Amino acid sequence: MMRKVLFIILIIISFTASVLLQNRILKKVKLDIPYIDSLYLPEGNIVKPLVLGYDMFAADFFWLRTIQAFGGHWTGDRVYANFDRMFDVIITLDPYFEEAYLFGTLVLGDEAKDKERTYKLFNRGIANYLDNRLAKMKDALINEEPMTALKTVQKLIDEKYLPEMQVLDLPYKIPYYAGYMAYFNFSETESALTYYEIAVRCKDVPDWVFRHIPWLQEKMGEYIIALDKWRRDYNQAVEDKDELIMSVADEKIKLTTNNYYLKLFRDNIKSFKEKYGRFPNKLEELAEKKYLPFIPPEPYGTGYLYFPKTGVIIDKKTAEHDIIVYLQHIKLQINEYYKKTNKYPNTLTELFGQGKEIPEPFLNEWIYDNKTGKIYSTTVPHIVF
Amino acid sequence: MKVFAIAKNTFKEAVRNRILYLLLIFAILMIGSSRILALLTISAHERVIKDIGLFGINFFGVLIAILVGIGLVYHEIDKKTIYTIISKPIHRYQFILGKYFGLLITVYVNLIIMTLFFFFMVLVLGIGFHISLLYAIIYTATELAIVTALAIVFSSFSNPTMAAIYTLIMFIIGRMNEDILRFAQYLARESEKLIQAGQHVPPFSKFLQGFANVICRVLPNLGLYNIRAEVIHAPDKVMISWEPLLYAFTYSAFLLLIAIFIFQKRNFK
Repeated sequence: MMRKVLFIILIIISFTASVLLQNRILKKVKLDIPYIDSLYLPEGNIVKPLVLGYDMFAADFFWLRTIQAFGGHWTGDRVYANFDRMFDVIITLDPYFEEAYLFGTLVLGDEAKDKERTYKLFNRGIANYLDNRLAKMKDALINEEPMTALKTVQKLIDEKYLPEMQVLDLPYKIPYYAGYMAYFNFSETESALTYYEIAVRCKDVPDWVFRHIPWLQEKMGEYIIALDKWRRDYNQAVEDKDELIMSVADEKIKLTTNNYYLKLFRDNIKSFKEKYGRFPNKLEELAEKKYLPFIPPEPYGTGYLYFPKTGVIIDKKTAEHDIIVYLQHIKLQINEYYKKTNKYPNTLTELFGQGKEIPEPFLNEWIYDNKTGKIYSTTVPHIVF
Repeated sequence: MKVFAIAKNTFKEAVRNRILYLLLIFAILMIGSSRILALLTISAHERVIKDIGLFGINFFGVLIAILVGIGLVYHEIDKKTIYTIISKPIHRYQFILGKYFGLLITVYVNLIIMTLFFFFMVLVLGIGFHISLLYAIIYTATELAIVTALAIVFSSFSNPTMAAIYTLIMFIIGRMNEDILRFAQYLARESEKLIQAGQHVPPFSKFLQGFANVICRVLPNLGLYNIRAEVIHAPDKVMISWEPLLYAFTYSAFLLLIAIFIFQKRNFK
């Protein structure tokens, strides 16, 4: 009996001592240690046979590990050096892991700002979904350098190698996000356009993605192509009795037409100046001197504002909008100044400081009254703040 | 009838094996933990749960088939119980078949338990049951019929450790079968390039190509039963094909015939 009690007492003592000691050890543990990579991966092609057919499970494992590693780097050094390898392993194991491509956008594009690796990931993603009917495109996307591959694909699109119809069994989100990334993160309109051209050929593409193409074509100066596509959208909307799309397409037609006309005017005003050493006195002079066959009407119906001294031309609607934005900002500064000093600044230079004045966007002048604090632009003098 | 009696006895014996319960508990824990792992992912929650569930069922099914199967025949010899069996009017082929079907029933009972738990998880978590999940499990069951036969073959002439190693190697090769075929094709393409360039193809390359071509045809193709990717990405397109089912039947029969042949040649004196 005595031995049993002694045995139990020894168990309790050893257990208590261990817990107390562990408690002491844990107090010394640094909880906020910096994140260190603990996963060094070989290439996906090597990992794939090693997982013995449990590809999906292994892809999930690496996927979870990648998310964890991203979190670690995101809260730490924000260096994403090994992530392309991680994504390579994941998409080699599961080439149809859509989320991996989209998350890759976030990591390699948004965070790492690495254009080459982002495009490479997207290109592989697109290629993985293509069947052998599009072998040329698939081959380019896999084997060529990412930027060269995009050029090859655009060439194939121009040559009608890709069908116009929505036939690709590819989730539209992959090329769509790629296009989004190309335009908004890397400011590459041409690459974005190529990706959107692929996106609109996917079976699951929603209607609104189609409208990105004329929008980008307009950005690239391809106004006529863009207009043609908007017109097609408008006609389709009329046929479908879709009033929302009709109004969107109508607005886009006006905007594209306006931008196109403005570009025509500006190019010809420039040529006029080069020949005559002065800007035309009025827009009609462009038609008189055969620079333009006629003066096109402003699509919004508000008319153009042309300033012969500077050669600046702008439609009235845009001018009013832009001037209001500027005036709101300047007026806010004037009011702040007034609140602090109980008087209006003598000049705008006094308000903003020498050399820091806000220039009038259309090369005209700000007219400022230091007695009343009111300000307007000579571009649209009727708008006073 | 005699086969059935041995199978029944094998099943009773197998369910007394503690390894079986250990593996089953691990499998259930793994399938259950998929919910927790799904919390760690960014989107793709459903996929993680399905992947882990299907992986757990397949992986632990294979482990059960191997770890329980490798000792079945050996223990009968080791414990001398084989003498009481072969002294009765039972053919040796009946003994092997009984052992095989007994083990297969054990494996399938466990498979059913894991499957029911997995489907329960799927329904409770509101993922939505799709028939393709059942197809994946039917294919797993078919694959396990071959793995079980492999375990029986190696158990009929070697000790459990060696039988486990042999079965595992065959399983690995079986899973890499299609990669071996790709390797053979790669070698063929490279040889073609050398011929076109007017160069000599090394004899070792020719041998390797032939060897790879033979290996991938002779050894089991277990990659055939992996439809888990299709179940996740295109469940509506998943179909049960008769070819893999018939292949499992013919290959298992072939393996069992080998096991019977070896077992009949064995001298128990």
